[in-house]
Amino acid sequence: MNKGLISGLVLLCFGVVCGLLLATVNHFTAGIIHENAIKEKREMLRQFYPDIDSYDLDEIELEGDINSLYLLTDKTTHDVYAAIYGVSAIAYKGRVNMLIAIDADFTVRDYAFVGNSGTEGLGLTLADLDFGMTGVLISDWATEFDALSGVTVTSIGYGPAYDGGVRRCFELVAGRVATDFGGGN
Amino acid sequence: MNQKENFLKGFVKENPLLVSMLGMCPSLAVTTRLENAIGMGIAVLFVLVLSNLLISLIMSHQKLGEWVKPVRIPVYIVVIATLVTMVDMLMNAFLPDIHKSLGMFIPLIVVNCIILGRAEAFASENKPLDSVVDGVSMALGFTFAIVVISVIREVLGNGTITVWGDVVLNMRFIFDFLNIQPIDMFVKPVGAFLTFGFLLAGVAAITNHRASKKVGKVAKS
Repeated sequence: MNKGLISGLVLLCFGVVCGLLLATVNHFTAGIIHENAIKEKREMLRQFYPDIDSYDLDEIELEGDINSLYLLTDKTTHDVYAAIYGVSAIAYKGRVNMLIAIDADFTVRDYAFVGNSGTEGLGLTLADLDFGMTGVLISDWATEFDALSGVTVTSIGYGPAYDGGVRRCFELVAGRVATDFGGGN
Repeated sequence: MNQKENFLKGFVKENPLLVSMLGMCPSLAVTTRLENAIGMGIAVLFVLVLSNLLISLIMSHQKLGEWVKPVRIPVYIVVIATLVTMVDMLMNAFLPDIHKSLGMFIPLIVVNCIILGRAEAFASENKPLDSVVDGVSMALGFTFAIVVISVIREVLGNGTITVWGDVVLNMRFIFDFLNIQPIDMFVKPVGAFLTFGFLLAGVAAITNHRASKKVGKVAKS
């Protein structure tokens, strides 16, 4: 038989056997990996809702600046209890990635910065800054947004550098809440 | 070479990292914490032992070895990639924290020269049992080297030794005694290269010392 054909068949056989083996391992691990991912997300959102285990968590993957939406729903009535948006916007110093939690009454429960290490050398992170948005009705973001309240002497150049991005994140979420739930704007 | 010599060669004499200098990139990248080094060592041990065994079994079979020989490198890569993907999935499922910490470096084991090097240089020409012993030896030698590097880097850079998960040994007393702060540079890439360089120098010094002793003995006799 042609040598090239034999080589091709050998590779094909190895590919098939390895594929089957991987499919078997995937069959056993996929469920556990999915459970781990859900657990990790619950832990991430627990900072906003310590009683998160009392609710069902649904993740909706989105495209664009608002890249994810986590919905907390009541386990029996399935009413939406809260919505947490994963949002990203460009700022002067770099990209700002945030999680913004909105309660059912359209107020901002809290917000957190994801993966923004900030100026490590100065030990300063975005998490140190307070933009005064907790408890504010999301539709009032433009008037309530306080770019200066969290700015200290050491962070005076740092806060404003990210300020535009944080502002844009709230603007995006306010628009999205209005579209998704018809309120808050 | 007997089994004992075959087993011991990977630790010092033919250590893949400190002597052959194979698989340096992931080794230097993941050695910021001892935990990472142990995780990487486990992954490499699993892949190296099984790839050596499978490749030796394939190549020692007369007919199959004959068919595989012209396409042996792609076959090795398929076998190694399958094992690495299995490790990746198993670690993601059962050791998620380590998996996240090692990140891209687990899939990159596929292109780790140690694995392919041992497959081509040893497993394809030796019996399955010898190949398994070789795999264990090389993987343990590799793990030993990255454990040493990671301990040095973590202690000097952070003042801790993260053994596994929450088991963290606090070594700050050394810095308190010396009245200095941990040297941040050691957990950065430059620290990896420095540590690796000093270790290589140490190994070279020991090897040279042994060689000169041997020469001296031969000259006397």
